[in-house]
Amino acid sequence: MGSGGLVVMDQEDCMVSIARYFLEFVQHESCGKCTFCRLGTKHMLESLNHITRGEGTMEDLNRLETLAEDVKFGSLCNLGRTAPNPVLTTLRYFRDEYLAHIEEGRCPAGVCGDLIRYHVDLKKCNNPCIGCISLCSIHRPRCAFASSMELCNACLERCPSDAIKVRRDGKKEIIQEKCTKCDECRKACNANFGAVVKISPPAELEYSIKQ
Amino acid sequence: MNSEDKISLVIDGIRTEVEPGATIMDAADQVGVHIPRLCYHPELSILGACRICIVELEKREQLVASCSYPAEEDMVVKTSSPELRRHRRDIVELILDNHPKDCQTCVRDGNCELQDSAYSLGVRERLFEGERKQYPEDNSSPSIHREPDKCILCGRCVRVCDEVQGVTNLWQQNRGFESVAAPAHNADIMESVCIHCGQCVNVCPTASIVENNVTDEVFEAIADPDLHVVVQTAPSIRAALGEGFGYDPGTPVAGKMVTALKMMGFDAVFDTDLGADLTIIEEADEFLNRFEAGEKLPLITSCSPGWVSFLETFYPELIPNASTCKSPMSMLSSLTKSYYAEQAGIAPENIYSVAAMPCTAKKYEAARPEHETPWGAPYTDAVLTTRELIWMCKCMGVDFRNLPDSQFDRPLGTASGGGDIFGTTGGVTEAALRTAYERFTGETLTNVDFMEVRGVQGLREATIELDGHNVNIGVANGLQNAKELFERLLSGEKEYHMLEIMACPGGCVGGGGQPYPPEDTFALDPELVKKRAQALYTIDSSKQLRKSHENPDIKELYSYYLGEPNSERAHKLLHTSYKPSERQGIK
Repeated sequence: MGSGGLVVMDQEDCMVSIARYFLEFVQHESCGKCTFCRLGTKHMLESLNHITRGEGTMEDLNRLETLAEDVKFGSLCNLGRTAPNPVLTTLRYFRDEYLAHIEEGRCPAGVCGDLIRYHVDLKKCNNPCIGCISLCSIHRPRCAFASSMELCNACLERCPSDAIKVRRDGKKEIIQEKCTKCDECRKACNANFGAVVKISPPAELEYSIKQ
Repeated sequence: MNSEDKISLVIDGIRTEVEPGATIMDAADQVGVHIPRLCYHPELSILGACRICIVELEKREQLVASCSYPAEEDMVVKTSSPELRRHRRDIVELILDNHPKDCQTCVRDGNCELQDSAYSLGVRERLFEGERKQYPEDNSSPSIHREPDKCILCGRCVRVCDEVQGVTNLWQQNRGFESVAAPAHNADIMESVCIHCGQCVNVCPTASIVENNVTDEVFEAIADPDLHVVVQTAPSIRAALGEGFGYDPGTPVAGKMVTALKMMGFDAVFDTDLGADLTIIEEADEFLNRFEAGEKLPLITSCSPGWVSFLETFYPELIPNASTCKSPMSMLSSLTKSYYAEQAGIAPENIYSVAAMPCTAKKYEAARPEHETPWGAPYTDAVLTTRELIWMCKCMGVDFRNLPDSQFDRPLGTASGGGDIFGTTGGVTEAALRTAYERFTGETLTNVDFMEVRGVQGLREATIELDGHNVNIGVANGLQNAKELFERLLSGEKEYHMLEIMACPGGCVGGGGQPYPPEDTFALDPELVKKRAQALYTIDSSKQLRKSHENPDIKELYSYYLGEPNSERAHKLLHTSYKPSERQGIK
């Protein structure tokens, strides 16, 4: 990147989001003297924001490409001249990721918050069925079976926004309205069962569950 | 220089030769290729910020700004291609997106360089919609009105304030998208060291910096049957007003101007030139007194309010040297509300005094507390710039080009040639010398043209012999030049007896309130200023009456009203005082 450093990334890094990150940095660093750098990178950043939020259109992509060329060839100093490079190279090598964001509302790497949903795969959520206990309200305090059960609450404990609900059968479910997509539950579950998954595009959640 | 020293290059297939140090833009201008430009200004340093003037060079991927890139031997330049045109169009679109969409209601509608660029570069739709900068308007100053949202950051105001005026008040504040040209710490104009000269208004390509418009108040006053509305016109208005109606720069239009003002409903039209004559008499008297006593020399003229502001802010140590004479405008306003009121039998409270000036600082001067009447109103109620006057004429449907000529009204309407040339640099000195010479020597001056003090160079010096005494004169226009003059004076390098300072380049003819220049010229253009100045010299030389002290209206004024120069009444009405500004500027 601009500093001459090398950054190694894998399939869990969204290239659109990476381009956005670098452009945000350039916007922050721009002195504001020349038009392309001051305003061109601002609009590029706005287009990228649209795309990563799932509001992007092909127009945004065209605008991004036009401005990237403008800014690269016309800026006054090397900050502006190199600013569009992350956009231009990701567009060249990972164009499909941009298109996935725009056309399908899908973030292939599962990074862009607005384009993903967290979901607990009930088959993997490893709590035994304790349906009888949840049904039997009278004897629960004295039930030897119930007290011997060890429930996994890893995701529940890590969730900062109280977005995880325990179902009657003891398995977990994510309340989407409360979820901040911080990825903590997935990290916590990964070590044990890998039941928390990211689904993108989010609209297809219902479909996934049926499967 | 022979052709071997010249640089030969190819612009759009045309081979041309330029002097070393010339830019690609200079070379293109030479072969008749007009590269679009926005931040570039011929009289200011090169910034290279807007990037509209980018061109392609052979064997170079990067586009370069032609305003700043020096011409090189055998360079092959392409100034127009589909890509270049697209890049340029995108720049203007980007700027437009960050600019209010109020062209139709903007004060510079039809006279805006951004609009012109958008038209000529083919911006027909706006592709980039997004966040726009939002800054409050700055209405603090009676002279200058700032709308930072309309600023396109061309940096011209910053450069003119620094390089031409030496005030360095405006600068780019904040960074990146938040950038804005404003006084330090985003202060208001009135909280800053601004001297209100209005040169930033002249060079601003949009309406980001304009004068504080008072035309509504003047219209209201004209419509008010209880008010007797009097207008006075500065010398340099008549040399520039015509430009607003399609006349070539330097066309004198005094007669038509008076007719137009009368048609617009002003009850009396007076001539500021008479105020200028009066200033000369008072100032010549002041000068001779100081010269004979050998104290408080050099005498520094005080007609330019921008300069007075500069003096109070940057050179308070020179305040005792400044002439105590009010400016011609303030003198005439004082007399309008005293002498004229008495003569015409009108209560001075019912007189509304308007001044048409080439100057934005006059608005500030009029609002100064020293220029207040005993009953609390200002002596000058409203100051219009030349631009505002042009607009008022157009608004009222005055068919300026077809108007007959009229005369100024008496008793404050006769002026000598000395008063006319007040509007140009060196004019005050020349007029003062015409009077001082006769006062000092008691002889009649036959050749009234003091060519030594004429010209448009920023800094001029001359030595005039007055009855065996050498009088060293310094003339400066543009405050950066004035600074240079003061450095010479304060370091003791040179001894002066009289200094004439005008804040604006070329004097009042190049003032901050003058019309936006016609297409083939530009603000600060020395040729434009010269043409306007020439108009004043032509008026002067065509007059019989050339010396201020021979003006019959002035003689009458002194004999019936003021007594003699520097009398008690003259002192009360025609003189003022200065004090160091609370905000001291760094020289």
